[in-house]
Amino acid sequence: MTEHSNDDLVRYLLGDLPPDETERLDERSVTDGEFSLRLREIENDLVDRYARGEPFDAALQGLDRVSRTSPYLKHKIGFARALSPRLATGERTVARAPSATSNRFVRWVAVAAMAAITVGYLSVRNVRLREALTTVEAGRVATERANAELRQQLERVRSTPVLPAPLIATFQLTPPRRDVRTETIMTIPRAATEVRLQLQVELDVPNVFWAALRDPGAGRIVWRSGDVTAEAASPGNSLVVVTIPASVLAPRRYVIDLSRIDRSGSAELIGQYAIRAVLE
Amino acid sequence: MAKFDVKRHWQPNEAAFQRLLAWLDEGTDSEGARYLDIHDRLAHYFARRNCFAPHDLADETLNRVARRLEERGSIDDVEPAHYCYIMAKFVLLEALRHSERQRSVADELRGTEPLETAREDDSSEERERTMACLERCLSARSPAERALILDYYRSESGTASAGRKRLADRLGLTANSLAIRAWRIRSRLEACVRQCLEQ
Repeated sequence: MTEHSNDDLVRYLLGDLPPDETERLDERSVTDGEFSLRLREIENDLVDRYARGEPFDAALQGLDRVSRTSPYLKHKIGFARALSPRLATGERTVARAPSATSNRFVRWVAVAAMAAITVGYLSVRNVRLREALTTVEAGRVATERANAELRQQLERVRSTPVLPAPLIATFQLTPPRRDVRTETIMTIPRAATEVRLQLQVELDVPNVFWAALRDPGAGRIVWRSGDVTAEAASPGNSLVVVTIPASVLAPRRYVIDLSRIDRSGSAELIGQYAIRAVLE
Repeated sequence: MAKFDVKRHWQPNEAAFQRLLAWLDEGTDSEGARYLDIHDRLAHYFARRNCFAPHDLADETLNRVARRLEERGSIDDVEPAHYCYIMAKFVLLEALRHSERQRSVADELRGTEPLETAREDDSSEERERTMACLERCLSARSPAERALILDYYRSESGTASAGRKRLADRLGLTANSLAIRAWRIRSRLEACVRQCLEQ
């Protein structure tokens, strides 16, 4: 089978190959696992370059053209654009498998340590005294440094203004019925800083949920929760508690979309709670 | 463009589905992994052809294969993946014909406009939503998967890149296994973000 170059595959992805060649590669993309993987790698790399805003070459120009009519590519580009800044701030906690090199290094350190200990035993008493003095000196320096840090912390605490305690208005919403026009009136004190909603759901724990506060008039989401774990309320019923900054609420109607998240990370909408915010 | 209505077609029962899984496995027992792999390749094939609902079309393709297996008892004259591709071509043709009909009706009602360039049309609000969805989807993955995907795509692209080789060494994987893991996680994240945005 002819092995295609990466450039050929880019041209295939952009629809720039002749029909018979396209047909051959279509077939391989389904029948050949390794080829399918290589194709995805090239596609992801191309999309990532585009999303990072790299200067246009022929491939990126082609992608720009093709993505205008491809919802699939537009979604991939949107995803890559969100991923790109995340890579700069991401965590680095990958577990390390011990390697042969590191094992050799550990052995070398152990041998060196043994040698040092042997030399130490052979040293005369004044060496030990010098070490003891060094330890005492190091302890004094460390104590002074700790005291300086404590003084700085104290200064910072003194200079920080005391914030008032948050004022939280709490509401409990019953499980939604089919008709989302039936709304719960929430009278919120104007001084409230946060609004806590206890959403009743007819599900057993444990479940993870997402809540989104939607303004149906404007047709947009005004607030989203992070992952929320439900609390058991009664057999077959749970409470999902979310806290919304009061500042996002205006006196109008909202709908809370509550979704359950399964293990694969997929969201399933399980209820919609209609509310009307009234500020008092 | 309207979505190709594939749900009206024949659906396999439990026995037919098990027969399909066994046929795809070709004598091994992949516990459904082979089915998912082929389904994924088919969905990407349809997606690259600009089909709406590519996953539904992949479902429909495999349902038709299952049905053919039921009718014929066995299919031995062609490899399973190749047979699935042949079936996918028919499903694609039907979907394209259906889309054409839908488009011609829609075009009469309003002028056709291409989508705007992807570099320009992404509003900051849209981007923020996508990033929020990505954060959620990332947080739903295990810490090891999260670290792997971020480290993998932080490295210079290409399986032969030094960064990715070092990452593969650190994790005790071959470069190929690492690439497979990375795109699987990325595919799941992309699907998760799409669902999140559609909410």
